[in-house]
Amino acid sequence: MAGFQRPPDVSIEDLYDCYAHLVYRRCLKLLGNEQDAEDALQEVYVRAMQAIDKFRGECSPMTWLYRISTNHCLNLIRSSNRCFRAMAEKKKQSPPFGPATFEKWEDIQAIHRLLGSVDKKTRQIIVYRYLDGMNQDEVARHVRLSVPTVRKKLNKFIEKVRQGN
Amino acid sequence: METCNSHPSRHRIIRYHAGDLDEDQRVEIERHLSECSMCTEYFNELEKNKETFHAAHSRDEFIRLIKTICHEHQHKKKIPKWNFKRYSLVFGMSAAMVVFMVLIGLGTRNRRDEFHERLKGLELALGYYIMGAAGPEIGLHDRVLKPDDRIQFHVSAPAGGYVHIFGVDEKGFLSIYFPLPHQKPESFPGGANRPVPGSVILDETLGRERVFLLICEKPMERDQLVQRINGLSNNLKSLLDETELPLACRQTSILLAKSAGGRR
Repeated sequence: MAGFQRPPDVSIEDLYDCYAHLVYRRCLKLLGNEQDAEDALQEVYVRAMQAIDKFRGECSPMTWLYRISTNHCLNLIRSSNRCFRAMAEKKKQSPPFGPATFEKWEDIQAIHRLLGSVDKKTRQIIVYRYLDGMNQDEVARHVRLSVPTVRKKLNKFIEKVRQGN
Repeated sequence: METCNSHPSRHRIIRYHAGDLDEDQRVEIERHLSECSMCTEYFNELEKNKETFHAAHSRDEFIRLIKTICHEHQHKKKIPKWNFKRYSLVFGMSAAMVVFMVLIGLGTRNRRDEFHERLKGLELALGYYIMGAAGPEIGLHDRVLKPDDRIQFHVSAPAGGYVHIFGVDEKGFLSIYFPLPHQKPESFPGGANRPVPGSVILDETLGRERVFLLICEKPMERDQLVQRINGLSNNLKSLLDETELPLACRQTSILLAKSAGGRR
């Protein structure tokens, strides 16, 4: 298992061989179905290739791809939440969501609902923490916040989930 | 191999799996994996996921697709599409303004060209300014004229002809002067290189005025004369604005003299 090459040598072939399965896996977990995950994977790689000149190697390519995929998937979730809310409002009924169990990341709709109820930074923190299994130090590095801030936001979110359930 | 109490984060195992760790971290994870069955199980799951993914997806096809899409995006960026709908009002107004200015320019040019074209032959010569109430004003040949002054003139037209005199005031109104009673009515006969004597008295009631001598091939009645003068310019007032008329005057070799106290 060779270490990743320096940034100037980054190519789409390398990015595909090393990380495509990981990006696909987390897109699948975030979006909940294979078709959306396929589309998201493609979109993430297109965006990465378009911005590859701007990639200066300040973080690893994997971190970079994770960031792109997180933003893209969260945007998709936000859009789908909007659509769903509009439909639910039209039918005058509440969304049929059950309680969310974040530790297992099992009820995708409930997760989407909860992700839609928090701010952008907290959404990213939740994804990195519960989906990618990062510890708080790693999350803080990814979202460029201090560890106490990350901890505070996580606690606030967990408290909100408990109150909601 | 047994289960440990302290595990690396799953993300770190993922990074190890992707080859994203440096040497020290890699050694550390390898040591942990050799001791921890739970983390090894997770690592194996990642390996299995990778194999499944690569078995289900064609690498070359994916890369070709991404490159095609990027190429298309790049091409689209190079040729930005104009949002004609958004800027339709601006485009419409700009186009209308350009057309309007071109038409005005052409119209002005045509009118002026036509006017000067008519002047080329022999037709028009410049007389004097006079001032009704505000006093005398300097004429073409630096001669001071007053109301009721009589102008005597000699015309030597290149091809001969008859002279009619008319004035255009500052409002563009036309007035036609007629010869003194002792002269031939309505026109002044002339001939090639032969001065034709004549005289006219300016009309102070018209106010500021520019007097023209119209040289014609044959004598004309009043209506014909009016028609002819009007034909020179659609707007008589524009005759007052013509700055090149003095030159036309000199070309027709008009000699003007002044005789104070003449009768009308």
